[in-house]
Amino acid sequence: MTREIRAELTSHNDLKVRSKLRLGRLVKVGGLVLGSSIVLGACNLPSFAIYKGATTQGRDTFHLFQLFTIISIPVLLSVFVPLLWAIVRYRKKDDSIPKQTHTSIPVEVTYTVIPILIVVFLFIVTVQVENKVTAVSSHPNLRVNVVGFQWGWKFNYPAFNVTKVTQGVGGSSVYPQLVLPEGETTTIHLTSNDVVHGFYIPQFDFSRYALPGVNNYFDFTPNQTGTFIGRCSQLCGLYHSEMLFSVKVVTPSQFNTWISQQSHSTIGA
Amino acid sequence: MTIAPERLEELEGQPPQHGPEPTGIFKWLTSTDHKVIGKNYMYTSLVFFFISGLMAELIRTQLFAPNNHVVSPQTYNELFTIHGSIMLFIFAGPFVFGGFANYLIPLQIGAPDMAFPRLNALSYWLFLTGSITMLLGFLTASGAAAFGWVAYAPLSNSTYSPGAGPDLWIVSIALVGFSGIFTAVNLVTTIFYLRAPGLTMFRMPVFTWNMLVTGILILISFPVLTAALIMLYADRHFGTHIFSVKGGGVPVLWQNLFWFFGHPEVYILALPYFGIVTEVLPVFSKKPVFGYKGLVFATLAIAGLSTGVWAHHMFTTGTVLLPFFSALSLLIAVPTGIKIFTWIGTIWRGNLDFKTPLIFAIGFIVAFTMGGITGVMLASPPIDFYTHDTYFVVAHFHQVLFGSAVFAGFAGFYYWYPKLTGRMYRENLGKWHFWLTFIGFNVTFLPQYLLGLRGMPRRIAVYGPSDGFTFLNEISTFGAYLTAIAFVIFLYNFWISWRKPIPAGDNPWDGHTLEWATSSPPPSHNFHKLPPIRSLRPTWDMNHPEHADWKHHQDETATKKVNEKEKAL
Amino acid sequence: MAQAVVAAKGGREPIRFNKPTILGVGTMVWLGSEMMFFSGLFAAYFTIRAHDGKPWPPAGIHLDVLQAGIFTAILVLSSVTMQKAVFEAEHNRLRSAKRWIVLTFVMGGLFVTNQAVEWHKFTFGPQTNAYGSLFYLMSGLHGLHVILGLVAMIFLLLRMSGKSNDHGRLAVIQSVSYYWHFVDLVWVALYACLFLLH
Ligand code: HEA
Ligand code: HEA
Ligand code: CUA
Ligand SMILES: [Cu+2]
Repeated sequence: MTREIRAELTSHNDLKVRSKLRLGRLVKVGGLVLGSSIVLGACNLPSFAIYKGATTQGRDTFHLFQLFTIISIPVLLSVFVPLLWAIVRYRKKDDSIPKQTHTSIPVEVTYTVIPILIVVFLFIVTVQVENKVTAVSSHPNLRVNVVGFQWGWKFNYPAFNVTKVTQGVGGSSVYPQLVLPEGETTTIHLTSNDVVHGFYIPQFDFSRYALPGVNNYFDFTPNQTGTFIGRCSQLCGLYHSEMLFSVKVVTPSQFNTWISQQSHSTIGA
Repeated sequence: MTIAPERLEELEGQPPQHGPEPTGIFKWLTSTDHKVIGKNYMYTSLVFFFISGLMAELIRTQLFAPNNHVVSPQTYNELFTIHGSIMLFIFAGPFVFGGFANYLIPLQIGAPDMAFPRLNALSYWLFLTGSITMLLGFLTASGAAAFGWVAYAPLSNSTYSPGAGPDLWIVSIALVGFSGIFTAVNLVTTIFYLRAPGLTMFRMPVFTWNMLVTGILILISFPVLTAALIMLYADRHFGTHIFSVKGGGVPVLWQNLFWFFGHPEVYILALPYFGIVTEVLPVFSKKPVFGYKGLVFATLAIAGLSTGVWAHHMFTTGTVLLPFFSALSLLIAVPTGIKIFTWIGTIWRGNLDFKTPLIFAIGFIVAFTMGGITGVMLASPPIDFYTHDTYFVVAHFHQVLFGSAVFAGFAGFYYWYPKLTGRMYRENLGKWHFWLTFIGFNVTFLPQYLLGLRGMPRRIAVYGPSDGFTFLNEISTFGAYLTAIAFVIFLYNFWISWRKPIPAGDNPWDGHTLEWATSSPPPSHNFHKLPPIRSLRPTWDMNHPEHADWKHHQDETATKKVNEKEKAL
Repeated sequence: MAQAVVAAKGGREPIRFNKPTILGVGTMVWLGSEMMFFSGLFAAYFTIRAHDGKPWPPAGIHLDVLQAGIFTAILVLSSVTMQKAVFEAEHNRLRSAKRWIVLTFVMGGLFVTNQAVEWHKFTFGPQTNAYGSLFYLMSGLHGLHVILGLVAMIFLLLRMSGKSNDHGRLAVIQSVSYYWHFVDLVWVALYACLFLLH
């Protein structure tokens, strides 16, 4: 099986991911989960294996995710530490009957109120980030129409009459590439011809459904150049796992050169 | 509010008592005794758990290596569809709601049987037929359903999923759904109507409370699924246009209807297990439940909230009101947290006897807390945009589901095993079962969080060697095999205690609730004599008069107030 | 709870339960789930309608609002006759109760028959468009419920012809009446949505 993108990405992705991902990561995250206290310097927070987001929108998501992860550490500890304590400390020693405590109002109030406060805080930051991530610019630098179909993608640049599409279906496909200019805002118009697909670019920290009969719009403002893998995330039938594409972010001038070299096509989207 | 069971027949002409019981195989086939039906449910769903578990092992074997060819992509899609469907509809739900609830609710409330014994038998037969129908799909020419347990339209219509397999899936879910609805009607009525004298609502064990609330959730959510399934079936066979763009239908309507059912469903699968844990922890700590009323209200709050959060499964559709669904989903953390902390409060300063049920219950708390917290992450739309439909979600729901259905489920199984059989299981084998499961489970699912964050979508039959997924998948598969060994040990334990029985006695754990006030196993009509019910723990009161709950001042005044309130109503 | 008090045999005093019977409670609980079932259908109706944006029923769909209205009235009245049967039974006047149930049965039967006639007459089918699909599915599923009610009445009549000291009988009559009222109520909502709403 030829997987163009995968080959292309091997050097870029695999070595880095593999070396990092191995035990090191496991131990690191596992360690955090178990409560090894890591001093979190404000400017050098760990990324918890989360992609940092290669777009400004994705970067916001990354920071939000980071925040959630950090908050979940004390929350986890608030359960695990007392639990462990109880397991160790109150192990049965004799047949005596312990004091029959039924409740304690202050304790109950505490474990109701503190979670409410945490949740309210989480909601506020969520809404802030959500508004940024879902904002659609009225004057984007570029528009791309994306259509998902069984089993491939069609990328259409309406202003330039350029279309890239998956060729072949299943094992021998040639996957299309979505080229985007760095630092500029692209509005994607996403829909589907047949069933539901998921337009998912892990390193943009983002995905959105391609739904038949629904037009979805969202913005990408890439903040670094590079080639990233894209996948279909929503089960769409037999070759769902092969519905790949790639995203190449280039400088605006490179983008202009690239687009002018493309053969114009009349296939609209 | 309540009446002595003997008087019912005379008053209603609808004796909730089952007739004389046949023996042998006919006993299992024709019984209307809730205890027999309950056991039937339990053993049937356990068999399906193993079948579905074996499918999971196949899934993991396929994912062990990149570009693997253990099964074809088509078979792979069928496998996870049926694995998920069996685990949720045929194992996790019926195991506890058809099995434990059926067996235990009449005992816990001091009733002779369920309200409608024959309806109960019908439920079981619908369930069994539906479960077998689920497997029949594999025998059809075009294979079983392969559209995931959520059956998103339009993938599930006749254009994209032709053949009889998908139809069998629809019929199977509908049958099992009806069975669930009837059981819910039965249980809710039983709990409202057949409580023994003195057993007020606020003296009901938390297990019974949770089953009541679960029953109500089933009555709210399953019929909506039934309606959706009928419309899907019509789309497939009668050419209607409910879920197809062509003709004016709306595909996302399916998602809305499905998740309106689907989210309450996950709590239908969790609340009963919470109930089990709330029975096990007090008994093995020799203490009452901590913050009983808070716990009851938390259960009600969870049920209320869970009907309003469905679209958190649809954040990435771009068609739902994000802040609303996000807010309600985040809020569910609060009542769930109350539960977790009351459990810790229950074992706090107790006298913890680390028998198998207790360690399974603690395993549940550990797994569920982790899974719950990643659930809270998913409830934040931007984070969900990133992780939706990846292994991050797979890891989330296995932690909560496996945590509930397996850890809490087996806590209950070991706890009530002496009640069901009059025999004791082997303690050391039980501990082996726990530790292997606990390690295997974490080794299987913790790496999946990382896989999700690295961009591995769910429901993919193959991944490439250069994707960087290989190593973590290897670990995960290894963990799944470990879990399988754990369940072989469980089966051995079951077998040995059957062949070489050790009598358990009627009340081996010094249990608190009414089911421990009768013999083990209980007689056909459940009780010869009921102890007086003056508190939440009648059996404890009877066996420990010096520490009786009703003497507890605060509790007594509280009960008085409740009594007055109930009278006023 | 249920003291099935004052059952003055053959006398004037009505038999009343000062609390619903166990069967009554069960029926109510089950009707709750039935309500959610129809809610699912209504949710589909309103979603698709909102999505369509155009006037409903769509052009080319012709409905006889008056004819359906008449039979709606008949169905609603059958609720009254059913309730009358319950009162009669409560006063232990079984034969009269039976007659009222037969009348109810006839009215329900008329309603279903009319539905069959209408279905035959319509120029649109379930395949025509989403409205047609919803129309047939919703009225059809409701029709099935009516038929189920009719079947229940047959069994009820048989049971009422049985032994005279049948204590459970009244509870069954009441439960069937709950069900019948529910089915009528749902139809009123369906009639409003499918025929009247524009
Ligand atoms: C038993 C089943 C179960 C349970 C209990 C839960 C519990 C929760 N789930 Fe989960 N979920 C599933 C089963 C379950 N889930 C399944 C099966 C899916 C996938 C379906 C599919 O697509 O196939 C899913 C998917 C799923 C999604 C969609 C993901 C996606 O597809 O993109 C979301 C998003 O919001 C979510 C959220 C939550 C939340 C917020 C909770 C909360 O209820 C969790 C609350 C618990 C805690 C938070 C822990 C304890 C609390 C404390 C210690 C208090 C303090 C805590 C805080 C202040 C944070 N779940
Ligand atoms: C209660 C629910 C539940 C439980 C307990 C499990 C248990 C397991 N699940 Fe499951 N899973 C789901 C519910 C559940 N799952 C759901 C809802 C989905 C989503 C489906 C979808 O996408 O539509 C899913 C999907 C799912 C996937 C994702 C597939 C994909 O997206 O491509 C994976 C992959 O690893 C997986 C693995 C496992 C494993 C390894 C176990 C193991 O822990 C299983 C352990 C059990 C055993 C190991 C039993 C062993 C049997 C024996 C020892 C029997 C001995 C035999 C004889 C005597 C004959 N599951
Ligand atoms: Cu397209 Cu998966
Ligand atoms: Cu949910």
